[in-house]
Amino acid sequence: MQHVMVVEDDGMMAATLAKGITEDGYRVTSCGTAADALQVASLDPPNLVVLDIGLPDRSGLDVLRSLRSRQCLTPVIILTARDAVRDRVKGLDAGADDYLVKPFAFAELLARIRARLRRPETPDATLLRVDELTIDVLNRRVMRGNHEITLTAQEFALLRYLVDNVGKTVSRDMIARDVWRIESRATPLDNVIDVHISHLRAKVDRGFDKELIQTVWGVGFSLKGDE
Amino acid sequence: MKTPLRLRLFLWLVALLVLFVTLQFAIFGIIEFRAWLHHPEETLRDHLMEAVTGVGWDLALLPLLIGVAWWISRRMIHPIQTITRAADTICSGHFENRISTGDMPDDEMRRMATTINSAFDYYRDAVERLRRFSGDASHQLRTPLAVMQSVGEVALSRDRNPGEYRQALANMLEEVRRMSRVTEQLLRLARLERTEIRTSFVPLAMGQVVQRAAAIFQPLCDEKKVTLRVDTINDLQVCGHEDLLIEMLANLLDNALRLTPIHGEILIKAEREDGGHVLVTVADTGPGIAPELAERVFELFGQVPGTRQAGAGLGLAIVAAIAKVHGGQAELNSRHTRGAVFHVRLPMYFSSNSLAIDIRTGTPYLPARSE
Repeated sequence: MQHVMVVEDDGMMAATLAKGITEDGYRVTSCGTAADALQVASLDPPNLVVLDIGLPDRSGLDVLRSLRSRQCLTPVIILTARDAVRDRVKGLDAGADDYLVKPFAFAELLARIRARLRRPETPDATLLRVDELTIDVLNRRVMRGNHEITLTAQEFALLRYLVDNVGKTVSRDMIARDVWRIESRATPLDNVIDVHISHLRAKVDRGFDKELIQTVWGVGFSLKGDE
Repeated sequence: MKTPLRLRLFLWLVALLVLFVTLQFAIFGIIEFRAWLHHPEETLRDHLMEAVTGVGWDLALLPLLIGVAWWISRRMIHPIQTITRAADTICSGHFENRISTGDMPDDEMRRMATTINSAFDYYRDAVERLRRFSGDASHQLRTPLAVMQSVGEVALSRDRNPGEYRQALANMLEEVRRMSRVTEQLLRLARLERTEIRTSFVPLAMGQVVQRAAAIFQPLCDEKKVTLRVDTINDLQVCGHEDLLIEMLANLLDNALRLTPIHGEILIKAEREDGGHVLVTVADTGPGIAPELAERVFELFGQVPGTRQAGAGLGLAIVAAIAKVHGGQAELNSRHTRGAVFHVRLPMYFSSNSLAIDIRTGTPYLPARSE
């Protein structure tokens, strides 16, 4: 089981992070201070670090720099409430692999952790299958069972994204960024995304007993995988 | 204050007078001395007495001249004292007071007083905006907080089944999303105040940006049975940040969709305008916005009346801020009685233009230029 170290001084946040990440199938160690974090890093080296910037003893960036100065190449995901470009650059300069701005959707954190820990895979498959859904990536054809589904380009991209994250929840912010390529979370896209989801649902699920596209209330959407 | 300016000015004037009298005495002395050399039969003493008598008049007048010097120094410094007193009063909390410039002659002092007055105007407005902003922002955040508190308390007030708990948590998350959205928008606005973002500007085809934004909203318009008409031409180059411009158009379209009834129509248009501008228009067939609200809709938390499911009232403020950072401006065309018509004017980019560098901020910008 892969080991994730969570460095976060806020008790409630740390407990929630530990719980959520454990439930996604990792072993989690929590540290509340920079000193603890460095100790754990040398005694029980993690596969990935989730690092808060504001720690009581030293800055999270200091922790990151000491890790990197010891030739430790463990992926590090920074959590912070600051997201000015300058802050991002500082974090990435210090050797962070990824940068997540508070408040974030938990689904997004889990997706980033998975992305960082994903083992090198076979090249992207051209034929994706989920349940009775088949997606021919090259020809942009989608079949459910023997029934062909016609999608617009945007609907196809959205379905593809849900399939890539099958079994996991994706938030509207993630969809806006990864499917619509709109980075700013201030752009009013929620209604746009909801309409696409409802169109997609009408085309993919209508007339079938099993609903593949699920709404996760208050969080986002997920595509139900094989059970 | 070691030596007041007024005293120093007075002393300089007095010193000048003394120097003048001394020089005069010296010159008279030399003249009389030379006269004596030509007429050695007269006594030197008589000649020198002539010089003393000549300067004696000066000495007699000296107190009067010193008095005049005192009066001049007072008069020169008086406006400064007036300005200082007025500024002190304003600083002590009387923000509506201003330095009265009515009786000042049109000179440097008056110009200084006018400049100081406009600085006070600026800061009064800024303080006023800040005050309103903190009030509005707290209010905006209070509402979702109240919902979350109630939902949480009610959910925990007795044992419930898992479905009810799930529903309660989902409702709380919905409010969290609302708060996050407001926070994101406020941060966006704060960042647009700074102009560093201009360093990332590149030449863009505005027609394509408009088409991209329209394509994003097309399915939503279809769903709401609203016709979206897109009217652009090629060759409308602007210099900007594509994501920001999309965000600006998305806010305008989002607003238009809120205003437009079913089977209505939204027009998004980009065209060339005289004076080297690209004019982007977003018009809807909703109830329109009263002319007296035309200014207010772009203000923070300035709700557009009649919008269904009102947002936080930050969208149009973001539109105005994005237009501004691009060197343009947003306005509501209030002459129309049918529907709301929003215009955004952006400076056109000519490929022959080279970017100039703002020497104060070091950021590149497009020099204004007309065709």
